[in-house]
Amino acid sequence: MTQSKSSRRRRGKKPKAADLWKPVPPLDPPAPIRRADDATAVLASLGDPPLKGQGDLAKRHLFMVAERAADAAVVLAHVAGLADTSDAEDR
Amino acid sequence: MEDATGAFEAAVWAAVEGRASDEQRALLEADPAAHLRMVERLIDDTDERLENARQLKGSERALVVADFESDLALLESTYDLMTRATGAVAAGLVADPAGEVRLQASWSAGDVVLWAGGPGVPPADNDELADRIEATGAPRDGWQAHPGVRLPGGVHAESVSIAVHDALGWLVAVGGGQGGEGLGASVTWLGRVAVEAVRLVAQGRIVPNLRSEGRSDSDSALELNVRWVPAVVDELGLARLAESMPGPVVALGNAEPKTLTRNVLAAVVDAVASDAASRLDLPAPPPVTRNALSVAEAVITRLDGSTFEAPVAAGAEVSKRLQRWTKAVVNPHRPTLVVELAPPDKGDAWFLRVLGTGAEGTLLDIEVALVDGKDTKALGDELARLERLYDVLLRPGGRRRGQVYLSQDEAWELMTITGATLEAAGFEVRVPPLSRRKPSAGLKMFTEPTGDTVVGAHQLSNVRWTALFDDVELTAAEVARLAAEARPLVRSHGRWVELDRADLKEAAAALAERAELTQMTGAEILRHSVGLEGTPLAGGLSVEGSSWASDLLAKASGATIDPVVSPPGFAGELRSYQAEALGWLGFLDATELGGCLALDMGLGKTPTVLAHLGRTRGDGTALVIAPPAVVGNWAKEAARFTADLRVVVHHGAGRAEPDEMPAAFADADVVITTYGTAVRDIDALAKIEWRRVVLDEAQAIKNHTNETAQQLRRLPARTRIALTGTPIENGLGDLWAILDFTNPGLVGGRAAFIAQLSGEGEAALRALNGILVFRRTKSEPEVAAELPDRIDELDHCAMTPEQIGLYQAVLDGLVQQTSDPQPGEEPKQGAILAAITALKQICNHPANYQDDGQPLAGRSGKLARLEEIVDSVFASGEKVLIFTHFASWGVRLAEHLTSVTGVPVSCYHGGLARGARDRMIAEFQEQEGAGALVLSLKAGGTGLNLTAASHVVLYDRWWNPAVEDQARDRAWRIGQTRTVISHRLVCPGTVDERVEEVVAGKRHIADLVLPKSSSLADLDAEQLRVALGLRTDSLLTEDDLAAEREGAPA
Repeated sequence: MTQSKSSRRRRGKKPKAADLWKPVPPLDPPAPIRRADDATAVLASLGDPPLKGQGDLAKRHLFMVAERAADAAVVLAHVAGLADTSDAEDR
Repeated sequence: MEDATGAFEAAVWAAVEGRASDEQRALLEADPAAHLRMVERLIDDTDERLENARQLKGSERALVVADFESDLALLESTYDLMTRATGAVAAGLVADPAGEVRLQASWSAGDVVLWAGGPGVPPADNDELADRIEATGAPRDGWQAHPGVRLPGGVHAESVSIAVHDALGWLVAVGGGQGGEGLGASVTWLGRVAVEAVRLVAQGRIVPNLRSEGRSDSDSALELNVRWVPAVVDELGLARLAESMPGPVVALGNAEPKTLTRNVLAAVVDAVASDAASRLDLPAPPPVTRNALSVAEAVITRLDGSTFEAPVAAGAEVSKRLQRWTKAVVNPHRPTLVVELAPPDKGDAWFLRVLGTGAEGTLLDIEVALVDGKDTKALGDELARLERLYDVLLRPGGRRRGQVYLSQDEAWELMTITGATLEAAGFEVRVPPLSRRKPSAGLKMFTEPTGDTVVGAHQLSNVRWTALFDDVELTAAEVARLAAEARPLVRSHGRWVELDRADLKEAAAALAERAELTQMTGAEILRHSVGLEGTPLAGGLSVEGSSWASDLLAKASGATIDPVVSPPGFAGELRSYQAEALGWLGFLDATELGGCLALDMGLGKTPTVLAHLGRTRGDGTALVIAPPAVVGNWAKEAARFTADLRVVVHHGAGRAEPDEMPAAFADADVVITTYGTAVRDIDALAKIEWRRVVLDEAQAIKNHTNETAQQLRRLPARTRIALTGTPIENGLGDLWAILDFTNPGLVGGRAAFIAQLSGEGEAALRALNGILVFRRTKSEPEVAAELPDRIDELDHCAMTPEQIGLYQAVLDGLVQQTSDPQPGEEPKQGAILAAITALKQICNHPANYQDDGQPLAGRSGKLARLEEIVDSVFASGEKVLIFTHFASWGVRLAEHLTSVTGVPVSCYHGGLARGARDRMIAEFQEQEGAGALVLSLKAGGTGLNLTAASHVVLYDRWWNPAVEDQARDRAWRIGQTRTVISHRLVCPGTVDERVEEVVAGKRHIADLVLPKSSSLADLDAEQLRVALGLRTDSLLTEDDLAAEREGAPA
């Protein structure tokens, strides 16, 4: 063994198996998913949508999507066994 | 040796090229160090050959160089893998295992590309890939052919792709850990990112953008669609996801991990939201979009992401507006504002302020941060967002922007509802901890001495009343103030809680009722504390302070802590509940209170009390008064468990005369007597100062007006203990009678006692438990867990004069017959055995020997004992089997029990038709509640399953113990879930007892009298008298029975 590892690696030009299969830090198990009581809060915090001529309709439709999407997300969370159904008494 | 080296090298090459056999892998795994050294050597060799190849000339040079380069790349990859893997384990990193093919996922512009491969192994082909995909529960439809994934070393992995919206459910399930086996880390990671995207949508952290898909065919218009993008993303969480991204995810591109993670989040968010939008009933989009106005209309009608065309300028204008509108929440460098609520020092004004990060990274009041902060524009945008969402901040009158005082109502609203909404919108909310649990309201009585010199139950104390909501103590004035508030908040156990207005009202009323009650005696305080003076609030009453009663209650609560299972002076080990009972008996001693030890039948009251007497040996004599049936048992158990105790059985004709008693009992630790004897000798016994008086089966005094109860009250004792398994057999009056005996006057009058504790009897016991009563039942799981499957008890029964007379007459006849046999008479041995049967029947009941048709009651000690047992069993709502050898007697017994208990009792015997017998068994098994069944030993002793019963009485004895065991096993068998208590009834001093000795294995039948006798027929008349005659020293007689009968219910 006359060359160092780094000098050998400098020569490699093709994709390396080591990069493909490199070890990575593990992730903690996912926390339960809880639906927001009001899924429109982020949208509401932005004020009126800049959609000229749509009046309240724009806000109402955006809010409807946010609420319906939050419902769908809870269904998906159930599928994954991650829905938080506990009734937190303390916080 | 060379062969071995060659084989090892070949194995290394095979592994490098991903074609190693199982044997070769095993060879390499056996020596990892040699494996690594060989890879290093091969790298050096290949490197050298490559250098040499580059010197070649001619047409083959390129081919040879390419070959060596390929070999070298493979070897270097293997080397890196081997050395990195070792370090990875130490660093807590994870990777797919080498040599194993798993399903892998790569991300490609909104599509998930699946292939199967792993480190050091060739990838799977299409068929195997399809199988693996199916095995993970992935969707069947939506798959597209994919050109494949190029892996290191020029290896090509076959692959398929699916759009993320088609694989959403599967991905999220995988991210939740439900994907099964065979999944590579890359698939799991994609699933995990999908889960985080779903979390964002569930929180409403999504906003719409208008994206251009490029120019239309005419080039004069833009193709646009709405895309839902993540908002208020947790950037730290995103960075952690990116760091954990496995290599295969990016095998199809060169995206930076954080960017790719963001892309996956966005794709999943859009998939969920656009799908949700497609299910809404939105208005039809405009047919043509000519200007910004119609583009805006198209946006709100195409929230499902469908594409539309718009003029370039108008499309770009609306797109930019939406970008500006959402910028504050999609900005990865968005500052986080803190909303902080401080509870009031006094009054009910809660101070709320908004904090932002200053230039030096510290939190400042937002008004200051807006001047000194790093990104004041972004801070201002966030504050504006917060104020839109929480307009309380805009209320006029605040000292500074971002500061406001909240009312109790507003504070509670923020803590319970609004705070979560603000958090969902990306603000950090810091509120005092709260609890939604409503604390139950109770009363507290604080006692302090008046200076009264009287001690004990008559000591007078000053008392103060307050309301108690968990740990929050409130005076009447405080209760009134809170009751007037819209939102009565208090701090309990470090958390803010809202009190129930109805509870406050009740507490106010309860305090008002007791406002004048400022002085009480110890007995009154005690009665209040155990609910004998009413329990106006659900939380009950607690007593604190300094007085006889409060000291006593404090001791009671500590009495059963650290129970001693092996007390000194006791040979054996107590069960946990017995050890707790022992602690409680110690408490009674210390406070000189009396009490009722109410352990269920079979739970061991006798050894518990003996352990107490053994532990306190030397501090005075105890008088134990018990039914005659258990006097022998007391003596026997005392000898077994507390051999050091000096026990005197004061019973029978040979007992001490009144004037002899002081001397006879002088050295005794325990004097055991019967109720009958105690009443008869009461004058003499009442002259002795007893340390303790113990009444076993104290239901004997439940009728407080009867002679026994009245006379026994004359016994002077520092502590009176009553033992019973059924303290409320006929109602609370029984319990009052017992407690009024153990503590005369303390529990107040009978009528008030019954009125205050009316309702569930066991609930009343719970109120008194640990103070005046110690109650445990077999139905408590922790008690049942400690019990053996079966408890055998031997009960000694008295003989009535009628029984004794008959017995003597039969014996005289036998002696006469055997001493002077007449010609033609049956053999002597047969006559003796017939006489034994007759004597046994007499022990059972005179009517069992000669049925005269007269009522059965009061004519047999065994029957009296059986009635006691049946009473106790019925009081517990349980069932009992009663076995007798004599079928006709069984029928009479069943009739008698039916008449005295009011519960129909049948007799199972061989004279019944099969169907009738089957019905009888089925009814007994299925019948709810208490019940009894009499069975003839012969017909019912085997084959039946009677697990509904948990008590068995063997009314008479049979010579063969196996027959009795079989009878008992009708109840004690598979399917039985409770402890079975078996009672054997024996009349001491009679042939019954000698049969018992035979059954117990102490004698053989032929050895009834003389151990050396080979046959009963060899006995002469005198020997027969000795063998079968009455032994007056151990005989229990009718006097005792009469006293017991007096205590029995009418």
